[in-house]
Amino acid sequence: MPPKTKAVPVPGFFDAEESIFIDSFLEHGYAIVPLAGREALDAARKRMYARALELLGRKGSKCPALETFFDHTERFVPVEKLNAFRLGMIEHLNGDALLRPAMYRMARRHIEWAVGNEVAMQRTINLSIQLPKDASSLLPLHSDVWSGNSPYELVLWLPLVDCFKTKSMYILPRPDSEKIFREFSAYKNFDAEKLFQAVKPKLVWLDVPYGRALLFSHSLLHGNRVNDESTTRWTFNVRLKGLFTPYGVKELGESFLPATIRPATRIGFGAVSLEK
Amino acid sequence: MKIQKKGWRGYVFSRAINGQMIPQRVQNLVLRAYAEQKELQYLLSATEYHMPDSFMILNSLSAALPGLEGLLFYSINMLPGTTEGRRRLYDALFSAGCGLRFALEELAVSNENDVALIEDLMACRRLSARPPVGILS
Repeated sequence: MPPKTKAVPVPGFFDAEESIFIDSFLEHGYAIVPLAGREALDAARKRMYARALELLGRKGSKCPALETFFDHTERFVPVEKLNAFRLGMIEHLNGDALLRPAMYRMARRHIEWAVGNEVAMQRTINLSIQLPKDASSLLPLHSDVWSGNSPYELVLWLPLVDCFKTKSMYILPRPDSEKIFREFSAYKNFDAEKLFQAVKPKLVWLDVPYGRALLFSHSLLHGNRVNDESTTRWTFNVRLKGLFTPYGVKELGESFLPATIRPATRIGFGAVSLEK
Repeated sequence: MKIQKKGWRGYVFSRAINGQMIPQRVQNLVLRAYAEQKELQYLLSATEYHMPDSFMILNSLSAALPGLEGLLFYSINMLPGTTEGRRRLYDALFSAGCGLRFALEELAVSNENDVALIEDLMACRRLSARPPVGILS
């Protein structure tokens, strides 16, 4: 039986705006949300830009403007050096202690609406850089749950540039994804491309401008294609889940850390540990 | 006389870790790779007995702590199950000027703030269970 798609079996606990968000999220499995504290995003992008120029050995007059660099990374990083460059950038951003809390705070309102307010957050932020026409960093149609990740996780997908059409990602909304799961035996011998072609008419390409973020259930089928637009995609992504919901192959401690623990829980921990 | 500290003593299990049997060879490979990555001097591992809840080997390592930089566990899932047991371990380590590291999780404990994080993790893990298999099951 399809799951119930209403926010509140008993009305009155969520305010109107929250209820609308929850109903929509339950229906589609994703939401594009505004980010709070835009200056934190701008600052993170500036730090990324500075580190990128260092990695590329660009100084003084050889430094492109920030917007030019992000939009046209293909002019400064050849495809064959993209992976090494990306790994260098990931090392930098995961050494940036401000970034994880900043990402959480920017999307906090909607994270709390979608996940809860005791949250585990992935320890590392992932970075995707997709140069125009580059086929080397594609993510074929997939559900993360198919490879053992917990279905209780959501992904916060946060662009550093305007993302649209093929420069963005696609998703198969919840009703259609769940139809595939129910009928999986009909698809089990397909490859990812054949599955993509089978669901292509139902896919939604997500327009996510800079300053907004996508929050989605990675259980839904999603992926990307060759970026056929003229500018480069830069996106962060990080997983979030209810602290006490079941974990999958990405465990608490190894892949996730508690982001928020509330006093009642801490008092409960203390009380439990005093029991003989 | 001050004893010169030297290296991180590995610590592996011969029983299941979080419900899974991890071959000792795999545990040691993870320890070795972690030590190399962090530029730590890795000392060959002590292997805990297979009997449930036994920490006899870990307890025996206490005497060697003054000569070590610390202990290198394969995983936080190998910590003693009781709050008191873990507290005894942290106290023994800190009073000997030692650290504690977990290779799988890439976590390090060198002060009470780090202990607080580990204890949060232990408490949260106790309260969360394994996920169901598949999406709709």
